[in-house]
Amino acid sequence: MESEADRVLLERARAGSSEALGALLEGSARRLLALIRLRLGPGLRARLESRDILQATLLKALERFGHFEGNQVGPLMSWLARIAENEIRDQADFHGAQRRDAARAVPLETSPGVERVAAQVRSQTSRIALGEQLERLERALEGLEPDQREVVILRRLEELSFPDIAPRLGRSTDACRMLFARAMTKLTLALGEEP
Amino acid sequence: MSEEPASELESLLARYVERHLLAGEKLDPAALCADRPQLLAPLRALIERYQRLDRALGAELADGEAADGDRSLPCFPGFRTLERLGRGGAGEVFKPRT
Repeated sequence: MESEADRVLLERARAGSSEALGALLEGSARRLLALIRLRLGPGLRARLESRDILQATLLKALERFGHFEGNQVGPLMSWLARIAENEIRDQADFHGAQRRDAARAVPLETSPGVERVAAQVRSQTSRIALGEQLERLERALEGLEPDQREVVILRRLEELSFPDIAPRLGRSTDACRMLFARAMTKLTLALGEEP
Repeated sequence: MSEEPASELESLLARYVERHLLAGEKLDPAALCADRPQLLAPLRALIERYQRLDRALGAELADGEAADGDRSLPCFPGFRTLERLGRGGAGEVFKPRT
């Protein structure tokens, strides 16, 4: 997500191109789904459909993109993660079909281009598959201590820098780097324990 | 594998991972276990697993094809060229990032 191509897409999206915005969101969808599943955890995953949350998150991102302040793609991922977390909280609080339908019918006061992208988001989100490898990774991540899991999520899924991670974890930047290195070592070892 | 060499192996892996993530360097496994040549093969296997993990959390998370061999990403009709452009860069740019 840090490529020059993505930066160009972001610039074009900020200049008003709904096609570029659609491509950016498409590129984020898989990572975002993995993130949503991890944020839900095993308990909430049994109650809430992660793809519903992904869809609602992407639709809200389309609607609110004008408020996105970042100039890099990394913070876009983090911005999407915040929307997803709010969506998870809402859906966990108001668990039920009615609430989810309301999320789907989010009004878009935007151009026909954005509405076209929104329609595509709706029809395509259910087709993303994470695959067996990522499911193993998910189980291994869930076996880590909470702080270690969090630093991996923030660094590799939300793509935050260590200076941005530090206040989130209440540790120094260097401590976060070390925590991340230990977490990656533990993850490597944990992945070998599975058949 | 008995317990004693396993924990020694783990600390060797930890040194490799720390140096890779904190300094962007790839230590030579042979140098890491110069005085423990019997650990070289299992250390290499662990480093390979770490590198797969690193890729899985990087480019493969952005591009489902590398991870699963199937088309996992949704495709938005008409946006194909843009999509390929985004992918092409992602795989290469991710690697040097620490």
